[in-house]
Amino acid sequence: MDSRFIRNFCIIAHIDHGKSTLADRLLELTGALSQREMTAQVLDSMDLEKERGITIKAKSIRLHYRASDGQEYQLNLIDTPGHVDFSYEVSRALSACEGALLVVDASQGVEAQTVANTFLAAQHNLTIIPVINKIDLPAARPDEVKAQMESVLALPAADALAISAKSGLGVEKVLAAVVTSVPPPAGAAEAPLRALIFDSWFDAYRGAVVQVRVVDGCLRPHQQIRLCSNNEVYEVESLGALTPKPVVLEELSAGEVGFVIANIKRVADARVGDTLIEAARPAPALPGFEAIKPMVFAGLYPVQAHHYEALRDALGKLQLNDAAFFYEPENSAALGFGFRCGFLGLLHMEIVQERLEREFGIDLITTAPSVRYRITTTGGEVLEVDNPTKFPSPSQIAKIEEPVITAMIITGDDSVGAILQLCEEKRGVQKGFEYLSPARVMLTYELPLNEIVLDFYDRLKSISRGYASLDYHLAGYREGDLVKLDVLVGGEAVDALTLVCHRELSYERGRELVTRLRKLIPRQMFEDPLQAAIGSRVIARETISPIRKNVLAKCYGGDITRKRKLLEKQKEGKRRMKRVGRVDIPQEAFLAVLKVASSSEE
Amino acid sequence: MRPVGIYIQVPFCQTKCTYCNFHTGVAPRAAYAPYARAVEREIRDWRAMFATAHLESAASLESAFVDTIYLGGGTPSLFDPADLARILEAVRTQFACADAGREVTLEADPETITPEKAAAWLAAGVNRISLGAQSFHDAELKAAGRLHRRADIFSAIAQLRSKGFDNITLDLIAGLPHQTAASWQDSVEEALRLRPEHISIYLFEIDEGSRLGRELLAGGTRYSAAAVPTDDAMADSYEFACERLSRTGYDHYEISNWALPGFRSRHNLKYWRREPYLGFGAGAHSFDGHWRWANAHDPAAYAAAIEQARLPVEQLEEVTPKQALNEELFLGLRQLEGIDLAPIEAQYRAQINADIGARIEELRAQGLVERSGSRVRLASARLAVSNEVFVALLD
Repeated sequence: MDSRFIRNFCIIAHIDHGKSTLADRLLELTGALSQREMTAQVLDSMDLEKERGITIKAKSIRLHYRASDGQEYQLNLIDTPGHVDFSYEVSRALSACEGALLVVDASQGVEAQTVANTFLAAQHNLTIIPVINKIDLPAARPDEVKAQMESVLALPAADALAISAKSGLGVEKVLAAVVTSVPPPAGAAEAPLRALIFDSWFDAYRGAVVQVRVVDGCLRPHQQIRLCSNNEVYEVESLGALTPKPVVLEELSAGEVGFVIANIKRVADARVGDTLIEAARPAPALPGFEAIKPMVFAGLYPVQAHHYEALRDALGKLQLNDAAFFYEPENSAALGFGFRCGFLGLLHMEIVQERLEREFGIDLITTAPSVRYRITTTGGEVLEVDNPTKFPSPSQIAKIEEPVITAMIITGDDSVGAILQLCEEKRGVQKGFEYLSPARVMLTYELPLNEIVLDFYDRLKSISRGYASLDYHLAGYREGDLVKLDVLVGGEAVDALTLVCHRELSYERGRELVTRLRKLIPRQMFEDPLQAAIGSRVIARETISPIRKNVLAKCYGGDITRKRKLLEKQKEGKRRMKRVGRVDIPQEAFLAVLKVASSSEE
Repeated sequence: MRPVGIYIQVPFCQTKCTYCNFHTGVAPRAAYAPYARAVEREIRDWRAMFATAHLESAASLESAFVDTIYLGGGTPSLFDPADLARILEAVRTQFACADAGREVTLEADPETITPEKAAAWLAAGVNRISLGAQSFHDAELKAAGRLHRRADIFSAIAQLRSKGFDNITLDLIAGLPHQTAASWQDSVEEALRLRPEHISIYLFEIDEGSRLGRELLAGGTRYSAAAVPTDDAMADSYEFACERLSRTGYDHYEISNWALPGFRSRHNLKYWRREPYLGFGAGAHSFDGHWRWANAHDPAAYAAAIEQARLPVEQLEEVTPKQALNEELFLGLRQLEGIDLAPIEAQYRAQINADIGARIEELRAQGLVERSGSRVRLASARLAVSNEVFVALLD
């Protein structure tokens, strides 16, 4: 294919601004799918993606478009994820493109991810085509949005396309703009092969399916190829493009995007960011991506011990398709055998949990999420610890550093006060305060990641009545006066409830945590203390009071079945709890730690 | 011949009490007589209806003899005594009845009792009255939606006694809205002064089955939900009653039941001892030792089935050996004399969990049960948490 007639582009947008709907319209317009074949949001194929209206995995779709000059163009649309947890995927998708459609909701205006994604696109030197979507909504304010694009994003927006992806209004102009504005890919078809892997997934029959952008040279079946990272050689079995149905092709040449199947057994071997070269004609690797590192860690335990094996198998299957997800066996005195898992963020964690429960039918107990701390011991050793229970004893700790993020928050000025307060409470350091328009403010804060993984996003949404938007990226490590807070039930420390927090907040957190736990743990046979402690010092105490009444009342004319069912229900309830010492702890209690900071609002 | 208890369900009340989680409802008076006819017909035709339905469940009871009859509800005392007499007559026609020790109980609400009715009940063969006193405090009775007041209880008992009833049981409920420790103690003392032959004490059950229970679960305040005593207060009330009744000559023979010597409820004991009983009427339950079944709860659906000579059964369940074992344990242990594990272990060898001994030992260590040889019983001090024991033993 002559690269002059190729356009590689992506759509970037804040969540819910209409990215997937626009993609659907483009597919429809180019005849990739008939209207009959369209299910809503074709690119979001996982059930969870459709249900939550988010895109998790990047995908590329090849479209054929006859422009007004009569020439047929090959348009490769590379979908990008919309949630901040998956922003690393956005970077990868951008590397495969020359242009980006920046979609902004005409009533919502510029949001945090709009800014973050525009910034990323500019970093990748992409041509950005501003698109204002949902202009048919009564609340649409396209002129205001244009002004924001110019002032906040520094994009010339006078010619921004005004469309309604839902109704199809103006979408034709989008395709025309892609052809005229996005530059064709550079790169030489005769040069030695260099192809960038920007995504991969696992297919049960064919192993790893690798998505590539061919930068130089040409990929053909039976070619011997080499992975730059590990020097392994593979033979190309087949290649092609998604239209979105997979179509097998004879070649992928410089500038093109498509998939390659080369008998690569594991997704882990075809690392995203790696370069594919010809075995016979070596060429220097393309700049890759930073390896994705999990940022949030939690223990996942089966409620019923005999589900351990099933959980292990399920985790393995999930990891096949999710290189960002990490797990290793761990055990807990309270919860028995389970796995320490690493996630990109809380949404990622929720998705994994939900898939395990839904697709694999495993009931889980999830421990409080933690981040990876960097601890310098008094002996000068530096440890990375993602499980609070593995903290060295306080006397051996010289210094604790915690990961911090730079967060960008865009909000209406009526909720700024409350958000500033929230950021202060979360130990944030203000880095920026800027009015985007008389009524919109952009805040930049450096915040400890462990405060974000608790309940920051939920509270941000609630105090701004859903209007504030958030984007963040890891900004390094910062030393903090942190302590490990243990929870003791009946005098026994419950490892699964241990958390790390700032010393100044520890009393409050401890008190809130035990208060909340007392409400969640049902009354037991015996009175038992419920304590929060730092080291051996108890800082808060509640009492689990003994149960006094659990008795069946009058028997209705010999209806024994009803009584039996009632007891069976109680039995089932007990089975779903974890016993620590002589105390039965329900599943919800293990997540109480998450909610601690918001309990004061109840 | 096996003995069998007969239960007759009258699912009608004048109003529905806020705490009531039974399948009962308010119906116009005009519905009473036709319902009584339907029950009569069910008793007359039950063998034929079972035969037509090809159900063997009741077969073993065909030739049983009746030694207890219980007219419960609802409020059967609302019915015309003549209708009740016809129902009892139908039982006597259809079954052999044991004369010696026969117990025929009628549930009655205090405000429904008149000397004429009392006399008619006695004439019809009723020899035991279960009086729904519930409380001796008007504020509590009113809030619970009861139609009687304290004074009605005294006059009801006086009328029953004067007509010759010498076996009266009185119900009290711990946990009614507005109940205090003092008001409860007073109710217990009033009950004791009346010296009924039998007393039942129930703790208000907070569940989805009653208006008040639903309101409490939803956190609302209707039906005086805010005035419902705490679980702890209910437990205190129950424990006070246990203490007082046992000091005044009442034998605490079942979690909720006390009797003067010789006055245990023979009918209710059948439930705990897994002895057979046959229920007639809408929502009535039956057990033949192996099967449990229940009639349609909706009186209209029940009446329609009887009208068409169809078996009115809407639930039928074969009790599995495992369930039977569970029942042996949780029903048997409700009786304070406890159970003998030896025959149970012998009968349920295949079902019984090998760690039953260890579980009982743990419960004993927790002070919940007492064990002597193969006999196990609930610890009398922890009866209010007996479900904990049952759940621990359940499989």
